[in-house]
Amino acid sequence: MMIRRLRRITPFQVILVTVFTALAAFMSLPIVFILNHAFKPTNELFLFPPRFFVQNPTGSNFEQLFLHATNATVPFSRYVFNSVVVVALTLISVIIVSTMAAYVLAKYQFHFKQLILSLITLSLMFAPETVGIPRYLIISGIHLNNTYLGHILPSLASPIAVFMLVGFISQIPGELLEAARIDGASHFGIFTKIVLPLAVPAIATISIFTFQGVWGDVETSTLFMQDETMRTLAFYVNSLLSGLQNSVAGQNIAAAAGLLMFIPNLIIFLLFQRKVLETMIHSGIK
Amino acid sequence: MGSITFNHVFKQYKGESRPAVNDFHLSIEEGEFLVLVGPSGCGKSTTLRMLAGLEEISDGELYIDEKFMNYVSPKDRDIAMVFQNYALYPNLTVHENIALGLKLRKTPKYDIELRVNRVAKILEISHLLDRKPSQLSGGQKQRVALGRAIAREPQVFLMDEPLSNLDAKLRAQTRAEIIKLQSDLKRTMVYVTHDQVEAMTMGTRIVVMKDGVIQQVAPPRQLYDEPANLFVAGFIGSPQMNFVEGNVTLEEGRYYFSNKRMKLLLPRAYDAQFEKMNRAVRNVVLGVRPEHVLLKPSEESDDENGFVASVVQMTEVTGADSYVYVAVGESKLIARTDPGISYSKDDIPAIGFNMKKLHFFDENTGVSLAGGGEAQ
Repeated sequence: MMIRRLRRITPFQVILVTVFTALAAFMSLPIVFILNHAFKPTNELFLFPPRFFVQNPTGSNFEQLFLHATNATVPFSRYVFNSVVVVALTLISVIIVSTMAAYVLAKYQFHFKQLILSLITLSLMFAPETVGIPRYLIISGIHLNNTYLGHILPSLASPIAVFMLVGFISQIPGELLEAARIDGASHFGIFTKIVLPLAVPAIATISIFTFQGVWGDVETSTLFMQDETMRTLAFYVNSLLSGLQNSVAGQNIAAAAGLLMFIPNLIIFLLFQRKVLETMIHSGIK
Repeated sequence: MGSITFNHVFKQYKGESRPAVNDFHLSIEEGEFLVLVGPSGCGKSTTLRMLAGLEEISDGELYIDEKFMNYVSPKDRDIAMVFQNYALYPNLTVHENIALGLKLRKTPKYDIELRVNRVAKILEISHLLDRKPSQLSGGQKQRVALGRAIAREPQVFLMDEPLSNLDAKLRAQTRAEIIKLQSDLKRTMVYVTHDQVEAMTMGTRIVVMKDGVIQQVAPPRQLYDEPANLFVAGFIGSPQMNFVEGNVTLEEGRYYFSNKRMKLLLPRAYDAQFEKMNRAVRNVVLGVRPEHVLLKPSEESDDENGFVASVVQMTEVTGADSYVYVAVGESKLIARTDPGISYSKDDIPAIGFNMKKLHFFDENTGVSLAGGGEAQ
């Protein structure tokens, strides 16, 4: 068995596997670097030429980060709490809004459907910076400054999520939904019992990038939140880093904060990764 | 319970010049096994979907059990449908698939269990109840889809080409099971297929459709023996009916069918058909089924009985029969013969017809001169 399998490997496959392994190793360098960097003592952080791997790992960077944080006017835990609330609420609302919108756009016929789809695609084109000012005007116009809604609302309409879900849901065979209609399911019943469970891989995918976007987002905190107690962890870490850029002492805090911001991303990705692969592999459901 | 009436039903899709279903007018009796058959795009599936409530009816009325159904939603029509690709919910187990319709109708739990188990037993899928559809073979999926329909105990079963994804052997087997199920359940069944063999073997009545128009509605035997027009004659039967163009002339009180190659004295039984065609030259198409084409070795050839010379082009042996393809002038004919007598290419047997089994169609309209069946 083993021999037969070995024999089937062609030189092309050998090259392919080697190249991709090398590529994967290269891509993982930043992650390895962040992990090592956070545990470097101050003298190693300033070594020249810089070292990739940590020689004498230490936890003092984290100690200093928390010391610095406890000295701040707003407690560190408040930033964490804000971030968790904002990320959780945004994630849930984006999933609800996007799946519903995508289901209707993918499976129903109505006037201006193509126009709406084109507008969604078109909105993918704008960089976040270009919509910063209009967003600010809207948020302050409806007095959402310094509220959680002010964090959530701007990212609620997620064109990329709707776009991906439309593609995925339109591959669910129409007969399935018709069968459910005959079985007696309401429109909402079809959506919750059939469409949602089948769209789980796509939902996992949009969850990952929505999470990453919102978790690392500083725009809402910078533009819409004047009250420091309403700002998020990403904003705190960001201000920490930019404030400490030229300070020698700050570098170890920055290294530790970098890792802290990265870890939730990694966890979410590992949780949903298998489902994401399914999205890419499964183009059909049958 | 379970009677269906279509009253001049039309389906017109936007931006299409001709209706997909054109004046469908038919009554289906309770407990009937009605088969809609026709080539793809003939409107048979659209008709079924209108009956299911999945397509709107553009014009006309639909009644189930004398109740006006045009605007009733699918779930309130007391119907169940089996789809071509089974349409099993991939996220639910077999048990949940069968039970979903019952659950949504708020059937008591013990009743659901009872019905699911009974249906599973009938269809021999009891051991599969915990599996997901992706773990089933095509035939098993088909059974589950049937089970889902049966468990609901609806008044009307609708089936949209349910066997076309199965292999030939399984198809024949499932066909027999559906026939048995229908006779056990005694429920109205409307079955759509493009396969005329399925239609002939299953239906108590068959509707042949073409371009959205009903061509003929008749029981299988009648459909075969008395096709209403050229389309039905050619569609039903395999290999298809032979057609020979020619004209009918009246000589000394007897009718003859003739063309360049042949002149046949027709039995008096056909006289009435031609008298209706009150024209001097009667252009007709003669239709004769392969089993009514007779072949004789050439030396016995004589023109008296209407035998003419032909050339064998090829033969097909299917086992029980053999089909001989012959040419008489420009006409190509197929004869079903005893496989014991073998003909090879370029043989020149004499060919004749069973004179009692001829069909005549008007060359212009295609309508049968016998006026057979319930033509529309």
